Amino acid sequence: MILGLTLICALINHIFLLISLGVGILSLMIFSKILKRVSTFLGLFILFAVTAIAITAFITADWRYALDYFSPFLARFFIIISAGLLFAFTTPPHNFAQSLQQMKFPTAVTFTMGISLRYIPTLAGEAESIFQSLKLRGIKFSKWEVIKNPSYFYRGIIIPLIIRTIKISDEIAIAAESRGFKCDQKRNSLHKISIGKNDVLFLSTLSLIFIIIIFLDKNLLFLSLS
Amino acid sequence: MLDYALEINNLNFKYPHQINQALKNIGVKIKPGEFLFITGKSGCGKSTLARCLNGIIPHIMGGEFSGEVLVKSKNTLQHEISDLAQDIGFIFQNPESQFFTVKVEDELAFAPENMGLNPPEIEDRIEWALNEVEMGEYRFENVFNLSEGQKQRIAVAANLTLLPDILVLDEPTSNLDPPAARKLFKILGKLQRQNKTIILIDHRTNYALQLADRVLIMDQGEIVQDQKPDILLDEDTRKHYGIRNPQVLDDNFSPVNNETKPQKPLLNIFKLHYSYGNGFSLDDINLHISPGEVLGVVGANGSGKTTLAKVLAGILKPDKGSISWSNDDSSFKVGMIFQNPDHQLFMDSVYNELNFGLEELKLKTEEAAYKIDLILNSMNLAKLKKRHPHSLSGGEKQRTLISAFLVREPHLLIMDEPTTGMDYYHMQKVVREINRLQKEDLGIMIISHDLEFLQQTTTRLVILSQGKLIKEGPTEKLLTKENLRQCFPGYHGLSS
Repeated sequence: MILGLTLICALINHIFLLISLGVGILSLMIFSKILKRVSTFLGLFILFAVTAIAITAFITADWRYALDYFSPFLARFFIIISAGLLFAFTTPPHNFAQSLQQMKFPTAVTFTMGISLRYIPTLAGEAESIFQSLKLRGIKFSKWEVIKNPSYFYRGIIIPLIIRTIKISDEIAIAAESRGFKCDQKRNSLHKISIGKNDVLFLSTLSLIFIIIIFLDKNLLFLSLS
Repeated sequence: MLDYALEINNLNFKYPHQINQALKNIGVKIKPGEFLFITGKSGCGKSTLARCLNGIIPHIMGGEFSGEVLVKSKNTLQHEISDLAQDIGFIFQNPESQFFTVKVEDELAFAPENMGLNPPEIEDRIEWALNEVEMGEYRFENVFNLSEGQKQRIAVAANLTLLPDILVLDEPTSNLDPPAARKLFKILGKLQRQNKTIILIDHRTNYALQLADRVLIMDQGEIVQDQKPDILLDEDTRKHYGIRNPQVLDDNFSPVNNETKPQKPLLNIFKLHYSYGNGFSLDDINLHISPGEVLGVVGANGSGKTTLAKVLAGILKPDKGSISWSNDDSSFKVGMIFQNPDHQLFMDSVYNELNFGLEELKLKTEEAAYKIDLILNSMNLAKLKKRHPHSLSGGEKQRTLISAFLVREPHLLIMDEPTTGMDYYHMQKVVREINRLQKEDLGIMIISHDLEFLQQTTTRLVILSQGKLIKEGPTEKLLTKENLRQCFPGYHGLSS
């Protein structure tokens, strides 16, 4: 939802408005106490932004041009990324899958989604075991090594990971059916997720901000043209 | 009331692309409230039979199927697996891959939600099922925070919420340490007294003797014995069908492997400390391992056995303390075989698997080829050298891995739970391999819960508890009932 609305706001042209929107989302992050955990991702983004600008500036030998050219693009990018992170870090996967289920999405979609989120830590564990096995066989896995010898990466990580994934997914499928799961049936849920007061408040505030921003954007555009 | 909870008539099954029948003329009738134990060598068809019981075969796994399976008079051919779920629950070997959510409560709600039950009804069932498996206080816990034994009990509870009359368990204790297994079996005993029909498929036989009403032994797809549990006490029957001894520590117990020549230690571990940073740590470990010695490492799950092994193998770096090796010439001192060999096989043939990464060792190609052939022959893998490693059986995978490390001439070989889910026959093969490797003056370290296996291979034991080394000594002294009972309450038997 946030993601979709941010996409619309990415239509805005004025850098000043984009930045204020970015600051807004950042403050929401601070409010929900996830800033520390998302800082790695944001750091990566900033690194990317600085390199992109630096490279363009180096090629064109014109700092102002590079900055002008990239800043609206990067600001939009920043908004989309941070909105996505805000969502990912504040919504438990099970709740998300369940909301979709209640919104009458097909069970096949919601179940698959719930399961794939559930198994991310498991797969991370599998990947760690595989890394350790490679280390035991004396294969060092630095970034340089991967570039120098991509076959190690493919044989050493992708193949065992695919084999494990297939095996695990087979087991999951059997276990699910054994517990009465069927794709085309009507499921019930123990806890209903409903739209609360906060959700309505958040949604209406957000819509209001959007309308104002789009209005301002059009008018500023008009002003700057005249 | 029904005469039989389960009825199997003249069942035959063959997997696609296989020459041999997986099941031949199976006919069994199981009464309500009966505790049935099914055992036999790996590949005897017992897991296949289990999969037929709730319709996984033929609905999910196809093949040539004939005969009939009736679950409370419902033919599995005419009912889908999900229809049968309310009559028959199924618990698998690996608790990790039978969970769909991250919270215990949601996990238990999953099955009743599938049935479309009302929330208050689901609520009641969760409450009841958790109490049945003695996990009442864990309702809001994250499943990742549970121990393996607790996970398996949650798996049982997650099946109980559908109120099935029959429970099928396929090697439920493979990942469990003895105290956790004991707890699980106690719960199964309790469920049986509530007139649940329980069908247990396993290699571990020690609890079957006390719990089962009836034992089926399978061999090459057929039921060859249908008897009282006492049959497990008959040594000839056991040897003949490759079945584990249910009373390892009880009768005529003596360690088999006494060959140790006093030698200069291969490595010395001094005041080793390692911490994961989550509260668990290995603390003050002092230990030495000599060449030609087979050291067994025993301890409950989470006592730090695998962590110790990984520190020795160089996968984890110790925080404090030292590991000193007697000779420092080779950079590949340690080979380690994980519990699940799937993580360690990378290449498309057994030969290439042994060759994998050898260029890092700067061996000449001809030299490497000669060495690989030598090892393939001695490990009895020459015939399989063109096979894909992932198409091999468990034991063959393990041998391939051992060979892959042997090419690098390690000083120490570590095996983490090498006999998980192994029958007597296949375990004996591993025992023979270890005896042979021992003669080549390799240091061997075995992490295991398998007392029968430890008894036959190890010369010395160390016992770990909560990251500390609490006992060390020759196998004959430490592997006794009294001692183990002291170190782990509930290590052996239900009565203790």
